[in-house]
Amino acid sequence: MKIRSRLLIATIALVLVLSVLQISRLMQPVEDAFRTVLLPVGRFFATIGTGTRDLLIGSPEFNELRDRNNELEARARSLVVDYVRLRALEEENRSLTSLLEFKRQTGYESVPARIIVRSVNPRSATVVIDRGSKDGVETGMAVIVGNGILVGKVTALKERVSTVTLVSDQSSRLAAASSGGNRLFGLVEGSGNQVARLTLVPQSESLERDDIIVTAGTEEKIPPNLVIGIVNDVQGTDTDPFKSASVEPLAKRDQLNIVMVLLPSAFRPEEP
Amino acid sequence: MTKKRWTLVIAVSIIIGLAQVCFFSLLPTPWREFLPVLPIAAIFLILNRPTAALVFAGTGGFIVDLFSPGVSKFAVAEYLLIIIALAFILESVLTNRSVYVMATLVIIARTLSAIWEIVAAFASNLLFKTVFQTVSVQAFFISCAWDVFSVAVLFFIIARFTRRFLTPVIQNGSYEY
Repeated sequence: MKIRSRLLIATIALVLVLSVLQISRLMQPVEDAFRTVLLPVGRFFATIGTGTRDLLIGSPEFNELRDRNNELEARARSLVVDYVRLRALEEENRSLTSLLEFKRQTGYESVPARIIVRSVNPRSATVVIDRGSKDGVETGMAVIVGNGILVGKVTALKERVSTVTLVSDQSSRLAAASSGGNRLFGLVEGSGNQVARLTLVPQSESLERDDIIVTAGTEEKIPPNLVIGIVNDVQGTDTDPFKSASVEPLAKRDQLNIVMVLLPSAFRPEEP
Repeated sequence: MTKKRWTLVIAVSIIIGLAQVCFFSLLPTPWREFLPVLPIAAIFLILNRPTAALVFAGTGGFIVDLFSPGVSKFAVAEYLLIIIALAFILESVLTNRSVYVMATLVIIARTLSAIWEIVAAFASNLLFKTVFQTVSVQAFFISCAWDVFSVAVLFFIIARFTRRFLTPVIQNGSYEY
């Protein structure tokens, strides 16, 4: 390959001429003519280019809609968080109001507590509350929620926290009575899975579905007439010495948040 | 070259020029930094077709100037002078024909193009008080990468489908091509 001097000179001359023509705008009519002729092809390329760009990065309208969608989704998420928090506060407020009402009606001394741990095993119904022996909590005390619904009783104690065994726990045993009866009637035993059984009910006692079962008040630290649950199904025949029934505790483990530990001083018989 | 081939060179240069200015410029980075006129013109140089390279570069540069927005960057003059410079480099420095020479050549071409833009921007500002943006460092390197990639692909295609660039092999004491 040889770049001949003639070709070199011709090219440089062409460059100079074109530059002068372009600067002086003398090329304008020629350029316009070429532009007119080549415009359809340029437009074709531009159409393909725009389509390809939209394919690569998305069209502006799509991007705008996507941004808008993202913004709205973020706002919706924020509102959901607010809503959940408000619902939790509302629930907490309702629970506290009920507890205060119960306290006002009964005059029981109590310690409010928050559930901080729930057992993950469905057969074990235990929770941990943020009150312990330093707060006056003792083993065997009744833990209630709402307007006197028994949650369970304190079974283990630390300085700052306590373990509460719920009514449905398999190790739970509570002396029970029928609502308004106020005398020993049977024994509520936990069966796990948020179910309990009422056993040792004498045949002479009347027991029917939807009866409300309450505490008998025979245990030292548990007052009478705290609601344990509702009778679901009565079992046993007339020839059996005792009746039994499945009981659905009213305090649901998963819905518990704030509870009240009843201090026994209020219902202990005063010293003579 | 026959008239038919010249027509083909001019038609391809118009299409490539239009593609550079009307198609690739619309794409996002890094696609928009693909500027195919110069590397293809450099391929003509490697194929020992300097006149075709000049015609390709001149026509392509003219099309780029026609459809470029804003102030003209004298792409015709730029491409023609760069091809002349590359031809001299091929004649005097890079005398063998390999893919490495191709890559070096297009990188030199792109560097000269960037220098042209800087000089043109300076002169334009000095003489006509017009300002145009020169190529960014990032865009320059992306363009270089595209150039190297495209000429390497073209080089291998040409080497595969033609008998060009075949190295001599010693056979029976003589060089065979």
